[in-house]
Amino acid sequence: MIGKWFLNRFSESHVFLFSLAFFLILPLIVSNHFIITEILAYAIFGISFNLMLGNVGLLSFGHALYFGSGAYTMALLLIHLKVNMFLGILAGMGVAGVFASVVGFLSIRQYGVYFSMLTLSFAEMAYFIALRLRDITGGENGLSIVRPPLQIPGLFSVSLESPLKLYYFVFFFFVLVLMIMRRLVDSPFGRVLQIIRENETRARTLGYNVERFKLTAFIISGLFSGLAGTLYCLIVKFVHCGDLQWLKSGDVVIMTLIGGTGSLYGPIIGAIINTFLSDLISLLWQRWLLILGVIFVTFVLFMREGVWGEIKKAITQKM
Amino acid sequence: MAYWEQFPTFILNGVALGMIYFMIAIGLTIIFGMMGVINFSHGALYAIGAYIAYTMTSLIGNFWIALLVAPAVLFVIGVGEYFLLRRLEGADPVYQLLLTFGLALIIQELVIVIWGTVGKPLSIPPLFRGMIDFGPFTYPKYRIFLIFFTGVLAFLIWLAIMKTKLGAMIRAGTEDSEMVSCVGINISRLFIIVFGVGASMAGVAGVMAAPLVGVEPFMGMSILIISFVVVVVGGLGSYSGAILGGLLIGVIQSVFILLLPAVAAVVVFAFMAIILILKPQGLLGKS
Repeated sequence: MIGKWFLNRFSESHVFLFSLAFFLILPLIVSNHFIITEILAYAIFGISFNLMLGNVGLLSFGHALYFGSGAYTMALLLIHLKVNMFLGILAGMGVAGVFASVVGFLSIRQYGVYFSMLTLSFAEMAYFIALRLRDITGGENGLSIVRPPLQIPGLFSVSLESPLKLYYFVFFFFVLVLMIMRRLVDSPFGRVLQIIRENETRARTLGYNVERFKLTAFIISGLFSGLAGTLYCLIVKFVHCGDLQWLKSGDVVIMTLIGGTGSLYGPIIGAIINTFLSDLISLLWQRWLLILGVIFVTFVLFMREGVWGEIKKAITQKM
Repeated sequence: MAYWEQFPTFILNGVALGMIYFMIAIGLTIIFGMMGVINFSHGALYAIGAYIAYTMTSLIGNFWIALLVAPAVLFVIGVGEYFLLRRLEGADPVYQLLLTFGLALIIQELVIVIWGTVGKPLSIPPLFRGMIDFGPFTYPKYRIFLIFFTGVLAFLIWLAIMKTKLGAMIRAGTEDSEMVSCVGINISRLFIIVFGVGASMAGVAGVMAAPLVGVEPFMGMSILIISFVVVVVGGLGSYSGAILGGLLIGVIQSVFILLLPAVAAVVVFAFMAIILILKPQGLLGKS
């Protein structure tokens, strides 16, 4: 009964509005603003990543490259050129986009697991390079930055040192990305991606240039992962080689799958679960990754639709 | 030139390295050929092998027992993995990859829980300490043994794949596993053998490599990524691709350590990128 009522009245746009409202008032409920800001950055990362996995059906195992290169671009520009924050964000996205184009160009023709293997290898190559260029990247010790104020010269300047202001600053980008991705998934472009996922041969027969669509999606995914990286760098005021490493790529894979790949909102749920789990369990036990690994494997074996899929199933079954 | 005097040493180093890569790549490649799965936990299995070598040496004082224990233990783990993977039959192959990734993570963390985060060195077994004099250059005994031992293993695997009935089934399985089960061959028994032996090989590679590189918890992931490069270069799914790719990557890496150490870690990836552009199916892969 309740389920039917729910389904009849609640469309995707309600979920969208609900998640906006949820994150709008979240700082009033959760006092640790740092964690929830982190969640937003990871949510952006997860949503961007899931554009490939959820919509095209290709699992990239090297998204740390775009996240990390965005973060590094931001940090290096702030340290050496003291640029405006917005310029840093745009540059970070640009660099991530360039990396995504190169890796995408080399790997996109390959199918399924082969694609995963290649994206992982190329990302790991970047990690090795960054590790070697210790003078520039700071290696494992990383680089610390000073968070610049949010400003447009001559117009305004706001310090982001207050956790609440920083939260809403990141929230702004979260909303932006969510809106863009919603629009994208529903656009003719997004529909073609779905055709490719469901039946690539048919998409080809219909005359779509499948490779170009896949590559475009991959670059967009890389761009926004880069955005997530720049924001993350501003939040933690720190970047290190680990941000480029496979474990970071694995992080986004894990949270997206736990949350659910079937919708835009799955990765958001995944980001919440992953961040809370890692922050809470890591206080109790250093090897929290073991627990996360077990949870992840359980999801892969028994709940492939993720938390979001389970919620949906629960609602539909009540009908 | 000093360079040329060192050259044979570095070529041999490359061959030794390449044989280790081969031992891991062969499992990866045959499992992929038969099941369409890339086993992300294959590196973690190698790490277990290395840790078994470490434990046997430090507890019992006998390295050689590890060469018996590791394949046995890893055979069991490999078969266990297969049974987990079988639960995902019919699902998108991406989930099988994700499962093996989760297992890799769990194994890596378990290794840390058992043996600690800090890497440990392992001394070369007394029997093979010292150098052999080849006239113009000398070379460590242990590495010669490694090349010989893995070479014999590679030959035995080749014999098993090419000359036995079981091998014929496996080769048929990599062509079309459904067809193989249609003609009445117990394909799941075949998978168990392939998974078990593949895992054992990774374990033996770990045992053999341990005295050279020591043990540390993250060694599995590093070697896994190089093994990916090996199978991409050689051609996924082919035995000869695994051995050619392994040796090529090993020698390239080792020669660049001599000539241009700054880029040695990266050059193999650049090589892979070139192969991908010129011959996307790999040097010996079928298109």
